[in-house]
Order: sequence, then structure tokens, then C-alpha cells
Amino acid sequence: MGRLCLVHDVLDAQLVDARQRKIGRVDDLVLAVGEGHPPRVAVILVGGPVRAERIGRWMVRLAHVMRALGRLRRKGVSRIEFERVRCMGATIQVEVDGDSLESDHIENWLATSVVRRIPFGRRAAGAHT
Amino acid sequence: MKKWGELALGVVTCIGGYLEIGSIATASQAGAEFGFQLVWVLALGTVCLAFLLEMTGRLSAVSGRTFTDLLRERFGVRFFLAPLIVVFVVSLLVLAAEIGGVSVALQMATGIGFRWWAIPTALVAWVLLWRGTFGLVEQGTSMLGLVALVFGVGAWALHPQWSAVGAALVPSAPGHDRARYWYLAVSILGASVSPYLYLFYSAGAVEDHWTVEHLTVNRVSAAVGNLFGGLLAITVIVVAAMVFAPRHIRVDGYEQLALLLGSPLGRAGFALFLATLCITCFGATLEIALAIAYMLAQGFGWQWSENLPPDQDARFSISYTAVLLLAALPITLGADPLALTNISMTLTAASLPVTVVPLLVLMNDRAVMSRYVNGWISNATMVVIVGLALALFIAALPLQLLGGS
Repeated sequence: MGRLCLVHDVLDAQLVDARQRKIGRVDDLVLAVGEGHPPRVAVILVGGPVRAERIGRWMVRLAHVMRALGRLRRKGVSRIEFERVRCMGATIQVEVDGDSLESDHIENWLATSVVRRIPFGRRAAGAHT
Repeated sequence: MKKWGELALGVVTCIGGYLEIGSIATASQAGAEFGFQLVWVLALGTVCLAFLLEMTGRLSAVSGRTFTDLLRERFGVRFFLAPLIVVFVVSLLVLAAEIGGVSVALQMATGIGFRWWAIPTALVAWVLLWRGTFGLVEQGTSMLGLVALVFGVGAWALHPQWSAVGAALVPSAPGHDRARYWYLAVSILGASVSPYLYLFYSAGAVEDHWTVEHLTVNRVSAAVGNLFGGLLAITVIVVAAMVFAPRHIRVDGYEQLALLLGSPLGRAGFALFLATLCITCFGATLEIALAIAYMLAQGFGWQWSENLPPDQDARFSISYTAVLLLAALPITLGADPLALTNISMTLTAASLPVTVVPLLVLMNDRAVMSRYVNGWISNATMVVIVGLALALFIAALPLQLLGGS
């Protein structure tokens, strides 16, 4: 059994979803602390606002302003239960669908509302990559 | 057999991608004002670049990750912000200068002012990135970029005293215009060693699925490709020194540059110079736009690959789209392409420490590199590069003010 250091190996690592798509990085980790059992890693947090908190207060403010200017009403933070982790190596594979992630809503919105409306933005019918 | 093909391709990519607006402009300014004297700076820049490319290629082949991935993973998001912002700003300026180079070439070919060419250039580049694959961008531009070999032909036709060129490989102090001499030295180094080059190279190694089996290809193409690329850039100094220096012509605008190859090669030389300027700057435009999008996508963990249809990596595709449009603005608004080039080369030189220092740390991290960590030669060279980068960082701004015009 190998050893992993939370800050060194897990924090900031690339997350990959069930369909092998890159879905962001581990922006923060939440420990569950309860009586009767030792603390354990419970949740992986992904998303701009979480990242901003790690950088500093100025970035939190800047992120607020940017989200207000972009009229983003959604929170943009995903919580991925640590039980969903399937494999940890150079990347961390989790058993979730990227399309359903709150932190990926900009990616999904851009794909459906912008990129696919531009000629040749769409994957050719029948192509598999 | 496949290995030899990959080797040849790697070498050609380094040669074909070597010249671009920065190296053409700074090398011809150096030749015009100081003859062969600044050849040593170009040689130094080429050696630094060869080592940096070999290292970032090895980093990606061994770890399966890009330099940007590791900047974020090993140093954390707070630290990562520094290289991200610095490289983004500097690369955007260089991209604007490359678009300026294409536009100037098209102006000289058609007579239509360069301002009108910036947006069409960005659009054509965008169409190629939107529809093309990584192989097309990398190999297509470098094959066409071989047109730059015409500088070698031009230098040979002028019969320079090659022993004098060789003697200039030894550094010497300037006899006149000291600030200008060192300013040009900094610009040449900035033009040779650009962060976008190794970010692009490292992302390319992952796009091409390099493994430790590619370490030889990586080493040979970095060494041989850059050797020839550097020699090619030296021939630009030689041509400028032979054509401009005796006539006391200073390169104050791109119009003068057009005379470069006209002198040794006549009308064909003029046309070939325009083709070289246009093609090499366009190739660099594609690479820089991709390099910026790679850095954003990898830093934040978005899906990325030039080989995916755009809707499969929407944020990545929108990034290079936005970056191209943004970079076309300065030239469209009438910025002077040569001034833009000089400023962006000085800033590039000043930006080096923020990427080169972390690279030195990564190359010695056994958790990342296992037994492929740097040997003492690479480490010694890296220490020299870091020292040089810090000196450039301190010297760049004062020199821009003293020797910039």
C-alpha cells in the first residue's frame, strides 16, 4: 500500500471523470471530523470561488466582481464525495459525469451555446475520439 | 525506421520554427549597428534554448504531464498565479508582434497598409486552429518555415569573412553606444528564449504521447535542431552586417528590412524575404495562440487537445480564439510593429526567472523525474541560465529606457 501526501500529491491534482475527460483540479479538500472515528477525507472541492479563497482575500473580491460582471448566478463549486475516487496516479479518476458538475457549467454552456453554433465547432457525426 | 522519421521531424521542427519576428528584427538591428559583434549573444541564447527544450521535453516524456501541469501541482495555486499572469501578458505581446510581422510582409507585397491585415491574419490562424490538428500546426508550419534557409543562401552569396564571424563568438565589449549594445543583447536573448517555446514543446510532447522511449529523439532534436536554427539566425546578423553596416543604415522600420536579401539575391531575394517574414511569423502566431490556451487549460485542469473537435474542449478553443482577437488589436489600432517587437522581446527576457527557476526545481525532483533527474552538466547550465535570467530581469527595464530608440 502506497503513501499519499494530501498537500503534495492530492491538492491541485488533475481530476478525470468516468468518460476520461479532464474536469478541473482538486482546488480544496474537506475533512470530516466526528466523534468516535478518526478524521477522514470526505469531499473534494472544485471551482473558481474555492480556488480564490486559497489565493487570498483580494482574489475573492476580484472573483466576486468578475462573477457580478458576467452575471453568473450559479455558485460554480462542485463537491465530489471522496468515495467516488476510483484511481489515484498522475491524475485522479472519479466516478462522476463531467456534464453534471456545477464547476463545469461554463464549459458546458460554451460548448452548447457558443462553440456548436460556429461552423465546424461540432464533433463530426459518427466520429469517436 | 519510425525513430528516424521522428528524429528528422524533430530536427526540422526546431529549424523551421526558429526564426520569427523577434529573431529577424533583433538580429538585423544587431548586424546593422554592430556588425558581427553580437553573434556571441545569439550563440548563448541558442545554447540556453536547447537546454531548456531538452529539459521540458524530458520532463513531459518521463512524467506524462506538461510543464504547466507540474507548475500547478508541485507549487500550488498561489505560486502558479505568478508564471500564469507573467507568461500570459508577455506571450500576448509577442503574439501581437508576430501578427504585426505577417501584416508588414503583406503590406510590402500588396501596398495595402499593415493595419488592415491584422484581423484577417488572426482569422486565418483561427480557422487553422479550429479545424486543424496538432500535427498539421506543428509540421505544416515548420516545413514551410524552411523557406528561412534563404538567409543562409544570402549570407553565402555575400562572401563574408567567415573567420571574423567565428571570432565574434567570443564576447567583446562595444566600442560605441554601450547602452544600445546591451539593449540589443537583451532583446536577442529575449527573442531566442521565449517561454511560449518550451510551454508549446512540453504540451506537444504530451499531445504526441511521448514516453521515456522518446528521450533520444528529444535530446537529438533539441541539440541538432537548435544548432541549425541558431546558425540560421546568425546568418541574419551576417547579411545585415554586410548589407546595412557599410552603408550606415539603421533599422528603424520594417521597410528597411525588405532590403536585406534584395542586395545579395536581387528581386527574387525581396520576394523570398517577404515569404520568410510572412510564413515564419504566421507559424509563430499559431504556436503562441496555442501555447497560451494550453497554459490556461492545463493550469485550471480543463479538457484540452488540439486534436479534439472544438466542442469537446470548449474553454480551450474559446481561449485561443479570444487570444488571437485580442492580439490583433494593437496592430489594427496602428501600433508600430517594430517598436512592439522590441518592447515584447525585452519583456520576454525580463520574464524568464519566473519559469526557469521552478523548472530547475522540477528537474531535480525525484518524485517527478525518478532516475531521469538532471545530471551535473544540465544543472550547471541551468544555474548559469538562472543567473543570466536574473541579470536580464534587473537590466531589461533600464536598458529599454536608455537604449530603446
